[in-house]
Amino acid sequence: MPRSARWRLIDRDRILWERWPGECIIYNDLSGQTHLLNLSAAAALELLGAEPESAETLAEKLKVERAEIERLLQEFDQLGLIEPDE
Amino acid sequence: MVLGVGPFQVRIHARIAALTGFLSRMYRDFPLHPPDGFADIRVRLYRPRSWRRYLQPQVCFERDGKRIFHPFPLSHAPPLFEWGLNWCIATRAHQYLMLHAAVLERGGRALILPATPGSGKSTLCAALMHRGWRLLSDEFGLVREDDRLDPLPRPIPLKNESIGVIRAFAPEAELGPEFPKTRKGTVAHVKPTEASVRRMGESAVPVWIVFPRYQRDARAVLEPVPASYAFLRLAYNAFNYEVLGAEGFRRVGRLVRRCRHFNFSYGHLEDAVEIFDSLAS
Repeated sequence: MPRSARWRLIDRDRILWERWPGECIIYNDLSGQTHLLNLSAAAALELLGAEPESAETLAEKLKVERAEIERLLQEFDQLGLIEPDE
Repeated sequence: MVLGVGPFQVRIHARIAALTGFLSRMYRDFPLHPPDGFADIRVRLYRPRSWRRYLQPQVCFERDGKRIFHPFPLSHAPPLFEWGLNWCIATRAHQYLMLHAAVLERGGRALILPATPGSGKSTLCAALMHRGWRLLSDEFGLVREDDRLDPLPRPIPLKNESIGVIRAFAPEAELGPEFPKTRKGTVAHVKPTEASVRRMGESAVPVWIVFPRYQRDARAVLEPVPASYAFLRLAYNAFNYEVLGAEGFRRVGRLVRRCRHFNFSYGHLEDAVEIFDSLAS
């Protein structure tokens, strides 16, 4: 994954959220899939919904290891939640 | 005949003595509608015109003129009707979020018991129905747009040992004939109580979601579970969560937020009744 690559939610308006303390569940109306997210993943997805982010900026904002963010972004990409911000 | 079954009107065309007898007994409290009136669901059970009419006779199930399922032995016409009607509802009634669950009511508040393998849902449901709970349904939690649950009382199918368990637990229960060697073993049906049928126009507010698990001789334990756990189990258990898409997600979410949710393990029906009585008090 290129260092400066930025990502964004494919369509923020098509993601539905149910939030509880410590976790949340989202529904992606584009894929029809439902996903259980932990706190870090939910926070990352919310940031990506606000504006495009790179792995570097996400890691900084969320105070987690960059490698973990890169794994998360890969998973979000595979799930069809995010796309490169070109 | 057109039978009123919960929110549905079901036209049944059949000239099969075993089925006619079953319907007149198990559905005797249900309203009949004009035979030429509207019907939401139209089914026909018939004996095929083949050599099977005479040798190991069979019965077929049709909905709207189209045969559904492989033929059953003629003697299994009643369970075929019940399972066929379940299929008709599950594949069409998408105005509801349809949970695969038993639902009972007390004091206007509904208890949802999602079905999972090994849960003993039907046995538990039959037991509670004979201990002061109104049966909304043994099979379908019909969640409306306003989140209330619509009743769909039907005969409760019991399998194998459960038949004897309910006979002993509730001698007043009215059971239909036993059907051996069905695909689920021996099956017999418990007639819904007259009160459950009389009140089938009364919806209920969902208050409790309880995931039951039967384990022989186990102590009864009711344990709260996280909302996310309840959400995922309900969603994947529902007949039409995926069909409803975003609306299904929203309805499950509202249901989970509105209700208290528990896992429940039990080994004795009396213990289960006591636990649910205290839950409802």
